[in-house]
Amino acid sequence: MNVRTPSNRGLPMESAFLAMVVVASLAAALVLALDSIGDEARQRSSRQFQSLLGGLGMGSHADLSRCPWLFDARLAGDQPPALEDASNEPDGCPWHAMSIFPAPESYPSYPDLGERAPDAVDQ
Amino acid sequence: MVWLEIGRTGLTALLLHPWRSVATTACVVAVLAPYLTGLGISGGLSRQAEESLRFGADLYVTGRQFGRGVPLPLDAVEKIAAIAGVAEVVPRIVGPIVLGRERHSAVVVGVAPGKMWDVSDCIEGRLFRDGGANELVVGSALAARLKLKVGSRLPPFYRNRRGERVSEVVGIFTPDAPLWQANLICASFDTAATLFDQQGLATEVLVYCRVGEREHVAGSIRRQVEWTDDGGRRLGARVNSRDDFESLWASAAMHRDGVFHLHCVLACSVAVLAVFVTSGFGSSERRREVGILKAIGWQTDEILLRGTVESLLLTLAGASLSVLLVWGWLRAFNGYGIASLFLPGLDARPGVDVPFRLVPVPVLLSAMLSWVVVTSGSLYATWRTATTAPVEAMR
Repeated sequence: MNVRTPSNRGLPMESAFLAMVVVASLAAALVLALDSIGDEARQRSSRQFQSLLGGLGMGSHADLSRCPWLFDARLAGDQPPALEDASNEPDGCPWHAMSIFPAPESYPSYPDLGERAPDAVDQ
Repeated sequence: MVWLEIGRTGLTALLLHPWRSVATTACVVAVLAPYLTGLGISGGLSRQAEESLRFGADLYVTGRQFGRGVPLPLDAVEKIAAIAGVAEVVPRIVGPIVLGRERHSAVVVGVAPGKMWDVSDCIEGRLFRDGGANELVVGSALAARLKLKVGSRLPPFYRNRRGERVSEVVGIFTPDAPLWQANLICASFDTAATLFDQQGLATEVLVYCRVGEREHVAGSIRRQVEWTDDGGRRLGARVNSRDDFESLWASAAMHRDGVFHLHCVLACSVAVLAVFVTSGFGSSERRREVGILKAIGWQTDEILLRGTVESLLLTLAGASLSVLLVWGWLRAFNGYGIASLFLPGLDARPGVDVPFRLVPVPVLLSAMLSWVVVTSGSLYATWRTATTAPVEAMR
């Protein structure tokens, strides 16, 4: 029976492997720390862009060709995407179903957002 | 110290079965890397969306007809500006357009000239001028796709009853500007109206309110801003407030993040089975190894400690590699090839900096979860062998 023992491989192998794991862990911790530090240049760029356009973009899509909701819910307002029109069901948009990122609530809840009775607003 | 020595044998065990260790680490990376990618992009996107809400307008006013959103006539600007508590009113046009033979999708945004904007950090070149017709600022991804530079001229890409003109690219958004600049064509309000051949209308009006006046202004707009023409057609105003979108975003983020985490938990449960197979279930050499240790006097708990330390080191290696791999791919290579899977509208080589932010706490939790996965997969097999008689184990 051939049983491999640690002495066959030698101590340096263990030390080297342990060192590699420690270095990799420290490198991972370092990149996490670097990511947590604020990026001032990016923030300035973002502030200028949003101030110029009055706030544009809230979702994971980079254009309006698929679903306006997933580009910016402020643009779509209470108008459901075409597929929801056809199916007469909320959340029927396939882009919502496929996206793993936050999307605005669908059409039926929108009347709750902006439609308050004028009297209630004055209170 | 005895326990330390026993734990050290876990490191030895890793090196005794290198291929098994590599396979287990690969399982950890295969499960953790996609999860961290989604987590990182989601975090970056959330941050940009929060900035979009924070630096945007206080109120977004659109027209309303048949209970649905429609563009507003431009005289809404004067009506809204006259309401007490309003600091500024800016009409805006936003709409999709298609360019070129390959029909590239773009978003046209037209903003009315007003105050002087400092855009030196987000635009390479300059902003369009007040009276400058058909001066465009183009998004970085769109510019890369159409091979546009500052000073490039675009042949007419729209239809207008009054005729079409050549457009000039006076600026290009920098890649580190938010994601939504990628396919943007930003122009003056009049130019945007010309591109869509729609005069006297705005898709929405942005309202900036004085401090504490937002609710009052919103209510006044709903009550006072409406039109009825001679034919009896009535157009109302619909108002959405920034607060509404902020709460909407927060609740949607929690819901979607929960769904994402649930999918990852399912993937981890499959990974347990994968690790179970690679950990030595049926591996005769490992069984003999444990049998020998039992024969020379090792107890079951000592063997399990050895296995736990082995799992911990494998997890540490796998989790660290995953973080470095994901960070390198998304930062150094800007998500080449995968960004378009998460962010529709971008190319395989995104022309925009992929929004990405890895927060330590979820990463640590996912590393702990992967340790549970690896331990669950390997510890059972080890325990089964450790509780078997040494003679049987060494067969």
